[in-house]
Amino acid sequence: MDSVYILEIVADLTKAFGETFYMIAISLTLSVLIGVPLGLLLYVTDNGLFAKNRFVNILSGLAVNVTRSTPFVILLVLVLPLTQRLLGTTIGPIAASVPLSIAAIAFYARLVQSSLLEVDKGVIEAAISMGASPRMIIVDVLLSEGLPGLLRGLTITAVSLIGYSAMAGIVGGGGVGDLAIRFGYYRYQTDVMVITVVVLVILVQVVQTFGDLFARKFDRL
Amino acid sequence: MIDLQHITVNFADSLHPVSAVKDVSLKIETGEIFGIVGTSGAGKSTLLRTINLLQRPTSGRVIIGETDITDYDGENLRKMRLQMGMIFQQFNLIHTKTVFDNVAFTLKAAGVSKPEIKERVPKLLEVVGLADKTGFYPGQLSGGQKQRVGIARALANNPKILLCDEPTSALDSETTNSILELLKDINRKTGITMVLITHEMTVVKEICDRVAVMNQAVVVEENTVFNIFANPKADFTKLLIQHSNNFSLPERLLAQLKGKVLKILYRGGGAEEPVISDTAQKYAVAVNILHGQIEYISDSPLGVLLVNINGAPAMVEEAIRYIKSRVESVEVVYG
Repeated sequence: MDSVYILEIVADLTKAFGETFYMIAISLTLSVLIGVPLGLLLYVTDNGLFAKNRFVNILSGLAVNVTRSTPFVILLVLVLPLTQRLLGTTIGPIAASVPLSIAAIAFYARLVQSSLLEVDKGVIEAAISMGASPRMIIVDVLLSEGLPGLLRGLTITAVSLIGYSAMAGIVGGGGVGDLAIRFGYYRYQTDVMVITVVVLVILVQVVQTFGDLFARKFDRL
Repeated sequence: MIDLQHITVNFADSLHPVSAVKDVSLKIETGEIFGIVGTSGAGKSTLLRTINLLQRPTSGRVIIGETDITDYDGENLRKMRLQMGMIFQQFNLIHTKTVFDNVAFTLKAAGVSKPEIKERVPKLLEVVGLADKTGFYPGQLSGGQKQRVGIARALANNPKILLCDEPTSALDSETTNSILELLKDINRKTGITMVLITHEMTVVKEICDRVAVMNQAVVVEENTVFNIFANPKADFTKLLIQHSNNFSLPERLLAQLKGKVLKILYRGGGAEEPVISDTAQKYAVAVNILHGQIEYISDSPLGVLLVNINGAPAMVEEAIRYIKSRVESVEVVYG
């Protein structure tokens, strides 16, 4: 291996890393901004404690399920017209963030719902018995008590997104995973593939470690 | 203060519809500590929860003060609940919030301003003896301390009613006593009306003024605590009291006994008179005390004695009649 070659790999890797970061940052932000409210909606409309609404629950549950059951590769292609309308292009990491965000929102919404279901019913009941408003119950009880679970779910979502983002290469999204496929797989450059996989393993480790750290910090057991 | 009229609660969501509470009517007076006692599954928790409508009754009315609240919902219901505190067996604190924030939560629910919250929370924690635990998280506290936070939280808005759902069942007996003392103290100082459910007669004996005994979804008996212990009427109540006053004698002893065994119940001033020695002097009978205790319930003495009485049958009969005239009741339990 000569030094020029190594430099090339490093340059490619840095660029790919930036692209992955872009895609994950955008879709993770959106999954918090939209996935949390959606998860809350799924929870409160299903729950007898307050705001039970079968119609809304079934409708939002269906939307989430349809998104989640569509294989990501298909979703990627399926939302191309939407991406075109939203951004005027279908190429690049930002364009790839559209299907990634959609998948992440649906995925995270379910995780939000299930971590809210883990919140002790007794605590919610206590809040109700003290005359707390629905807003207070959501903010001070559900989201507060659910926070460790929400953070763990966000970690899982981030890790899944790193995996999904490898497929974003299909629509020219780039990223570390895409690099592995293009160079390592299509061009038989096994060394590049190995390096990218190692980078991905490290990336996932870092995300998981920080995720667990935060979750534990907020879990005041 | 609290008037429950013909409360029935049915749970119909399973294949077998269950009546958790069947046509229960209770009147709870202002300032008293009212106990609801029964075994688990008797419906006492469901009944308690109808008072603040955590559980809506299938039929019947819930009247608080002069107001029928049965059909309250939304803002009305929320406002009404601000005037009732509730504490729980499992404490139900928000474990991701500090002791301070847990208590502040109730004040916030009532729309109390931030500066006022800062001023009132330490005072409330002072009342329950946790002034030094402001910044702790529930996970760092013992069970008794958690319940104290629960009490401070429940009392934050100066409610007129405190509902206690098995408040000491998760605590050891020493902690139980200190929590009951605290509740009693708060009741005396503020005149707050308390409704307390428990499966332990000892808790009832310790703290309640009046008690309703529940079994299989109905109230089988309701009386002052002293009368429930001194003179239980329903079979189920007798069973409950037997559990708390165990007067069974060893088989071996019963087999060897001659004459009769009497269970003598004293109450009030009678407990302080020398009935047994008078009897032994007056009649030609031998009286031997086998078992006994005197308890003070709501500050009046209640004594139970098991005695063996032996002598000529006619004398024994007369002696029993004499004892009966001096005490609350006499029951021949053997012979």
